[in-house]
Amino acid sequence: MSYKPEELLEVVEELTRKFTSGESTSITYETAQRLMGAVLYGIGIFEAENHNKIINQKNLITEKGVLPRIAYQKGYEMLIQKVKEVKERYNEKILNFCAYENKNYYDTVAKGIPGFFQQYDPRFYPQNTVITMDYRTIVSVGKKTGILAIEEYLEYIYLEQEFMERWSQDYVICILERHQKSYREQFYNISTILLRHALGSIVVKKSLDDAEINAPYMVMEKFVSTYSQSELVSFFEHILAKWIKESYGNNPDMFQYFFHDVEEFVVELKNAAIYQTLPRVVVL
Amino acid sequence: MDWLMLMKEKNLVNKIVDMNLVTQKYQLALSQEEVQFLVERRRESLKKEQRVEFGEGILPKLIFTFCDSPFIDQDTYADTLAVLQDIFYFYKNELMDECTDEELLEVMKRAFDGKCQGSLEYLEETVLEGFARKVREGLEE
Repeated sequence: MSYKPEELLEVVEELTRKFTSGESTSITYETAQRLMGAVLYGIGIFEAENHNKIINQKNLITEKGVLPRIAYQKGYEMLIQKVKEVKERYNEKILNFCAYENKNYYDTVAKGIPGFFQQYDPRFYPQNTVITMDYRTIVSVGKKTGILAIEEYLEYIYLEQEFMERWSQDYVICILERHQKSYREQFYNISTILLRHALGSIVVKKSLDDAEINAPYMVMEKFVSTYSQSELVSFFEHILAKWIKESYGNNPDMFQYFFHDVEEFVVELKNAAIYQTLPRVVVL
Repeated sequence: MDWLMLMKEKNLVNKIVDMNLVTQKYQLALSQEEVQFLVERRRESLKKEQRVEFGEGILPKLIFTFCDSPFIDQDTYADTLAVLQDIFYFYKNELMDECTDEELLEVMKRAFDGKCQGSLEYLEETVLEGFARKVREGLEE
């Protein structure tokens, strides 16, 4: 349901009074826009999160729909609950978090995220994401902002952690070092290195727990050169699905997340096969 | 920001006209035309300073604060209020909203009746400029 700006005015005015504690009769355009954004964010949460349960209550709806004031208030309450839940889940998950010595991964997840929870303002600036999430996940949070962005971002991090936990820390670090000695200072997504290692190892039928360096890159090069890009994407999609099911059980979220790297992986493999730089793309 | 400018100007006009009941004991009153002039000036000033006002705004409080000033008479009343209003919005921005309305009005009134001896120019360019600088320096510390 979209509301006209005039319908939201009353809600924004009320929020403005709270913002100024009644001590100022005017605010800057920037503040006004921000507070309007806060109202829209709250209403957005209401409209997205099980609002059907609420609109069945007759006292909350008029002929035109849910009153903006009610939508915002309910949305705000849901927002507070969501922040609490995301924080609780984070506090639980961070206990076992491993950054595998990558500084950016650690700084973003172990230091940046607590900073978000400390500074986040669900009342007057809920649409502010606060931190920059420098560690890039395979799937971007897109246009999401605020707690919704952080919630999605963290779910991707938890998937990566679950994925990499399959191997020992030493093994993961070994693979990462083989990919790039200076990986600790780099800003790329480290789980993709392990993903590509897993997929590549399956292709060349190498044990996934064997980190020895006699890597059959010639087998990989021949394989990559034999098939078209789309055939390779389909192939990797298939083996990724099969392997995730075998290794992690039925986990569609994990498959969907890591599948997003397959196309880029295939493009890089194709180029690397031409220029004989496969070790830069996949650790075997 | 047009939607924000739909703020209840009609109610504001009525409120300001009602203020004449308070100010008339100081031999000050605003005509309908002068009230319209001030409301129009308010709109222009808010637009220039990129501010949004809600409720009845600052004008009634401004009138109440300055109506007993010895440096305002009927001839200069409307024009003085218009400039004071401009100064108010300008300095709310200069002070980065760190001062409440009451605090800024108090500073303005004390200075206008005191150091400035009724000079709006001195109020704006010297006294309030110094005050704003001190507040900003305090924030930086």
